[in-house]
Amino acid sequence: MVPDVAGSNPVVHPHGGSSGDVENQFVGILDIHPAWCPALWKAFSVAEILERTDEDTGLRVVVEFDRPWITLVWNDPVNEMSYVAWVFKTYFGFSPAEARKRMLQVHNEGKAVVASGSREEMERHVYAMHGYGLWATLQKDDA
Amino acid sequence: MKRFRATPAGITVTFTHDEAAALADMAAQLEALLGGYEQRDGDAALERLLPDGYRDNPEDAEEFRRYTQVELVDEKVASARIIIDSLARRTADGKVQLVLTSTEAFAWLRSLNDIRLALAARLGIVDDRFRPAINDNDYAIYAWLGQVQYSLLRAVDR
Repeated sequence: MVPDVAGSNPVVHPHGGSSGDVENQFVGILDIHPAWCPALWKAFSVAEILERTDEDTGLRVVVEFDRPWITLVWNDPVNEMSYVAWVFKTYFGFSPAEARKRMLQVHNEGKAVVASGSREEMERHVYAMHGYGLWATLQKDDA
Repeated sequence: MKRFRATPAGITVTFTHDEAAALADMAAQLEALLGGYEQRDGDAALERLLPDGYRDNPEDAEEFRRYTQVELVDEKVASARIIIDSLARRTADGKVQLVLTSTEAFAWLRSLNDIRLALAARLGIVDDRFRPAINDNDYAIYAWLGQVQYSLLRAVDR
């Protein structure tokens, strides 16, 4: 069984026969998450597990990782900082410190990721943010 | 400015007759503006109130809008109506003294923000470098709305 990697849904494709290029099957993982360190680290752990499995069973396994979707909130000159922090606290249930941290990130860096997960979930969050008047969008996580 | 106060009975606030009339008028303008949501394109205020859900993908943005826009507009109109309705409870001396429930206060907070967003779009406030002209009356109203909203936030967020 393949462990769940960073909350995403790995898709496992078993192929019959044995091949020497098991490592090459995991090059794709690097392409998917070039800068996403925790996921990359976990992906390597999975790769190791699967390599051992390969030796035992002769199965060749390819693991693909779905990139999650993210909700971004963008800076704008109208929404007050205290209001944005209150929205984050009220809607996402962030602690006051966490809400303030993300609000400052929006303010100083121009945007902040406030949630990640399935596309449907992110669409619900974006809709809710628009209800509060925050400028939010969703996209695939390409970081 | 401690205009709103959290009390055991609810959130209390007092407006002068003129303040109440101006607020009710702006909430009604917001409602009218939102009623024309189908003319969103090219209208800076509607574009800001009803932004795209996808930044660089017009097709996904359009589909998202198709599924969510009417509901979002209804929600915003309902909040504006709560401001209008609560301001209609005015007393004989012209002052408006209100005790808002937490649901009403929540709607007030969100709708005051919508009014500020719409007004900011009309004033051309597009980034943090905006500097109003001296004696800009609309900007003075915008700044006053910000104070009212902040005071309400302080009463709600305790």
